[in-house]
Amino acid sequence: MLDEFLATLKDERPQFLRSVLMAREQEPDLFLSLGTTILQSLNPGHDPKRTAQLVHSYTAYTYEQNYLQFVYEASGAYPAASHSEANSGVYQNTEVMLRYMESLLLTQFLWPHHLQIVRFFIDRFLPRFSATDVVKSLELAPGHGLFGRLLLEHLPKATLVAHDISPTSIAIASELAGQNAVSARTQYVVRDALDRTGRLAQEWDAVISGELMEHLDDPRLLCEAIAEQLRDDGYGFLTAAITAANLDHVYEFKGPEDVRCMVLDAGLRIEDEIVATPPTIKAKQTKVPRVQAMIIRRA
Amino acid sequence: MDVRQRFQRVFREVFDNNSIEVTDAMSAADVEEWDSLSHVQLVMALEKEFQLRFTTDEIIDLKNVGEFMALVTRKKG
Repeated sequence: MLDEFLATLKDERPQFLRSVLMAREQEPDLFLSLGTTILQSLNPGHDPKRTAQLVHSYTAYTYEQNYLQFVYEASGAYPAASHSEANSGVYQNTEVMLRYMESLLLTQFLWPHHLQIVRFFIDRFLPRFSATDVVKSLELAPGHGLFGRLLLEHLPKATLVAHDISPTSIAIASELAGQNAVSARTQYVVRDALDRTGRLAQEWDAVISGELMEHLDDPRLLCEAIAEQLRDDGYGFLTAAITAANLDHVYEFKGPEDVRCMVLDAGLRIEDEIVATPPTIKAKQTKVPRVQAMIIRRA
Repeated sequence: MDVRQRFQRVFREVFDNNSIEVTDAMSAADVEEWDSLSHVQLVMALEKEFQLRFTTDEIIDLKNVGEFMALVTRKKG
């Protein structure tokens, strides 16, 4: 199925192939295993028409991302003014979210710097836990749900509760978890990830939050929520997009130090970190879209 | 200057290559530097050249330069 996807991409939209081949060259084994798993989950019937549709979704998303990045480069500002604007225009719009989430899921193996983050999650974050432990995990804004599913696949006794403001995200993450046979250990709930109702201090062994920080008006609240809810011996996984425009990116992190300061100020400490950069930057590009991921603990 | 000549000028500027000869059949497979980022730079340069805005749906299914020139002609018409 992966070969069919790549062949369609090469035949129909070759300009999008180069960075994909870089991802494959960078992490051949993970590209193959993750790509096969993701495509299987998005196209369980191996329908060639669906493959063409996924190629279309992926290339349209990548095109729009790149376009927004150049507009941001010229204007110096992200397109969405606030979280509430992004919420009404994106998160509560089923049609937009369906295409957005499936495209974003595809980028996890097709974009070299996203694949690097997944590698970091698997190799550096998940080994903090023992496969024999009952790891009580919370995922804040799972989106497509990949990180939570990887955790459950690698840690067979772990359980996961996930909160997302978008009903479409919850439906997608829940459905994909069901396909991956980990659904018995999951609980996906439509709820604002920052909702304090019923929140308990130091409840979770693991708190995961991928691709949320940049969507918030005040990401400090997310750092504080993690610091409050993580157990003293627990581990958090947090990502932040830096100088990376998107339709629903609100908070502009200007560099990795911005994120570090925010995390430390919230009462967390950083145990490990990666800043992933796309390999296909243009010479005159001053705003390089990067992703920072870190493993954090209570200070 | 007709549409083809203006396309050629933009292509040469974007790809920094004065030997590019634009043809109807030309596609990204024919130009080594034509990747996903330069694709957007090309679209933006053509938007500026022709004072147009293209939607993603208009752009993403274009197979070659000929279809792109036809799109511009249609939108300008």
